[in-house]
Amino acid sequence: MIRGDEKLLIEAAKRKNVVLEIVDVREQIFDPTNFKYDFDVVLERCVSTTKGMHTIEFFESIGIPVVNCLSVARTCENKFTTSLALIAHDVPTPRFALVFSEREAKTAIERIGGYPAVLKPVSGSWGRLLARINDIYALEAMIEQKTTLGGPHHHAFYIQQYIKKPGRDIRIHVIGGRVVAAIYRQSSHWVTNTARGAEPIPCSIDRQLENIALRAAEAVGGGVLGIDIFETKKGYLVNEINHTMEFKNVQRVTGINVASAIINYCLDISKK
Amino acid sequence: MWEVEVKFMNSTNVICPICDGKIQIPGNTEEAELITCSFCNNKLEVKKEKGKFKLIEAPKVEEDWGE
Repeated sequence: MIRGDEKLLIEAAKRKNVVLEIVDVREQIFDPTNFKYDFDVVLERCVSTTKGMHTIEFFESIGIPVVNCLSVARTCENKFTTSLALIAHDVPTPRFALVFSEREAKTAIERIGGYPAVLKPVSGSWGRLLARINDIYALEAMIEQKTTLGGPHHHAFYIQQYIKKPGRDIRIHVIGGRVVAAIYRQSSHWVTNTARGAEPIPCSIDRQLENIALRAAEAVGGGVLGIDIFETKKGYLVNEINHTMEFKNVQRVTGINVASAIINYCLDISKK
Repeated sequence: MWEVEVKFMNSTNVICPICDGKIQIPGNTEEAELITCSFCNNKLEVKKEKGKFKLIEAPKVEEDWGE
């Protein structure tokens, strides 16, 4: 489906005289023995992560480069995998753990800093299904609900250290190894996604912010990434990394043509 | 100003499938584009049938939607 972000990409491509073919994956039959195509690179923009992951896998299997590539997408779509990649590359990130039972969840929370803690699904977006666990009783209730009502993917409990934010967090875009733009996402709520009502305002990028964003991008394999960062007294912490990033708010409030940067990156990939 | 005028000179009228409101969509509207009905505020998807635009109710947000 074409949303505001995709509209911006289409306009940016047209301005550069890039021949664009919009492929609606809902109308495709991904049969590698019988798939006709005439393009050099795929920019994956599925709003559905499930459809997106399979799409990336298919096009890579028939030799077409995809932005972002499968290994980057796999790392970013799972919060636990992302956190492991960040730790492996010494990128500062909140303490975290993954558990499969209530008993281990209780121990994990004690180890990562106590209550409150944050319970998240390993895969999810737009600030949905996040729970701030304020005490052991809330933890017990949430685990019971997820275990009873959720599918198997909700039975992996990703627990993250709760970071008290200064009423905002940062979304910064790294494209092709370069920091392009950043916004603060301001909210009185602890969840600061714009999808949850946070207000985007321009963020100036200091050297430390740039450095951690670039290191985080490298940790997950690079590409076109939207990186969420917390500010703390001890410095920046990388929270999550998005691989099919939305950017229309960033483009609107900063005036920076993020869409154009994405198209340029795709053109670079197509030439490799 | 000129670009806006051109877009709307080529605009098309389509009917909201939910409230029957007549919506004008710009000439640069793409198939599969999401729009919001200005009358009932519902999310709609643009489809093309036999060369003409029509609107259907947009798919409901699913758990795996996002970035």
